[in-house]
Amino acid sequence: MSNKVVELKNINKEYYIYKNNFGRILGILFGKKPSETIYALKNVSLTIEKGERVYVFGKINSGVSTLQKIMAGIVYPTSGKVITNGEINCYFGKAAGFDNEMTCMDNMYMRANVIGVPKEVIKEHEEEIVEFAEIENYKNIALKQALKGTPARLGLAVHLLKDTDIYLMDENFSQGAVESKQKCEARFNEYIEAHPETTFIISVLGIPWAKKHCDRGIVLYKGEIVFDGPIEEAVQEYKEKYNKA
Amino acid sequence: MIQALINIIKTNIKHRDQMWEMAKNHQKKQYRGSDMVLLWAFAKPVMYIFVFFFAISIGFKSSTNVEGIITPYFVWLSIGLISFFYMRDMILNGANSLKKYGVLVARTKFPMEILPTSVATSYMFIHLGMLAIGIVLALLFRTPPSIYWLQIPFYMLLMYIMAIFWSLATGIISVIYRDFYNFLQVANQAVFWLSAILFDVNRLGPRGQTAFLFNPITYIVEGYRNAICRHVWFWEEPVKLGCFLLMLFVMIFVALLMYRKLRKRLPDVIV
Repeated sequence: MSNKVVELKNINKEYYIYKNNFGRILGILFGKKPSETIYALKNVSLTIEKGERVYVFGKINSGVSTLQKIMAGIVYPTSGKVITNGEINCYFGKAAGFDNEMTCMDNMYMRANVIGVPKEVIKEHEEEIVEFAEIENYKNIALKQALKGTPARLGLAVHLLKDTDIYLMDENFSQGAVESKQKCEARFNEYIEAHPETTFIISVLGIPWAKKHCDRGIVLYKGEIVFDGPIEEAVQEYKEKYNKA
Repeated sequence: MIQALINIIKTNIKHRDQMWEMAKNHQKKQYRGSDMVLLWAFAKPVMYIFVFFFAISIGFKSSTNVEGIITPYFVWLSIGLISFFYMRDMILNGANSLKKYGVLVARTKFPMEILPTSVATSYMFIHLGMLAIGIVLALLFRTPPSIYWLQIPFYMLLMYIMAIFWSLATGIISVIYRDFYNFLQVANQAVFWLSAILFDVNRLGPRGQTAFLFNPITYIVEGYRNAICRHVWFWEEPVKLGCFLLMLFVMIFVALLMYRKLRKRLPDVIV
């Protein structure tokens, strides 16, 4: 039986810029030419197998975010084929599903609902989430009034309750104090260790983290894969490509 | 086109719990930070009813003459307004249903097909509460319960289906073409006066009545009134029902067309 969990074949993704709203609707409905075309991904093909830990390297506008969203099934490619096999969990937006005006507890349940974690599961782990998110004293207070970094901690704690085969992450834990970031990273690392069967495709936690936890690296440059192989070599390639010391 | 419809229905069935929670949260969000959510949700429509009642029955007394009703004018007015309020809320909130939750469509693996349903369901909670108030008013004004009241769920279902497909069609258009929402905001001001809420459509001339046949809002408002105030079955007015269904099918067709053609482009442009 094949162990492939993600397979991308000749993926191209173009974003079209129109001068105004009217131009955009004419473009979408009747094929009017855009004033500018952004080529986010160019002929990307790759295969990821079950249990692999993959780090995707690239800077802003290199196509990392688009690539992950296409794998997650959020964004659709302009051409090419996407095949995924298994339940997908993606952590792309700290704020997605949160409402700053609502209480921390309401937000906990709303976020869970958005990503498809059943209410019963959240109820069962409520204490654990509250403790991790450090909202014991802020349960019924608006999220905006809680400690800095609460959305990141709360979001992660809820996210990690979702059973998944493929985990994609394009969002770091940098919000709030350094301790909060370290706490989130430690919790995420624990999760990775405890789920050897899950495939992780990460793009945000930095080179040291990637070297420690990933075995494969993909380097994207201007929408193209310029390297795909062992993590050490990927780091080298990334540094060279982006002139990083 | 049928495939698009099947896909929408399947997604809504599969994610029904998610849809239901979204619907509840949508209302909570409207009045977030407020202690008396329920009070504020109903205060505005109730106030409207009383203001219209006083303005019409005292200010323009002649307009209060409605033929064939077995209830006082006040009940006739309230029942019409209650069904209208739901549709009025849905015109703008339905059109905003995708844009409002754009971050979910663009940044999470979220079934966008449930958004129009959840917004339509969310306002249904308020509608059911308002309908209960309307029925109590009817009973207080000596309107005995009748078998004709059984048609209310029929009209409610038509209104709900219309709200869902309206939200889907206009929700997608509003994302792709931002000016459309501004247009709806302006048009929404006129809908009230173009839907025969305050006056009896049956008192208009033949041309006026024909024009109103193609306003689905008028059909629903009249339907509620026929059930409670006039005691007319829906099958007794087949032409009106036929015209309404025609308009509903057009709306569903446009919604499915938009969905099929633009669904994959939404995450690119929604935020």
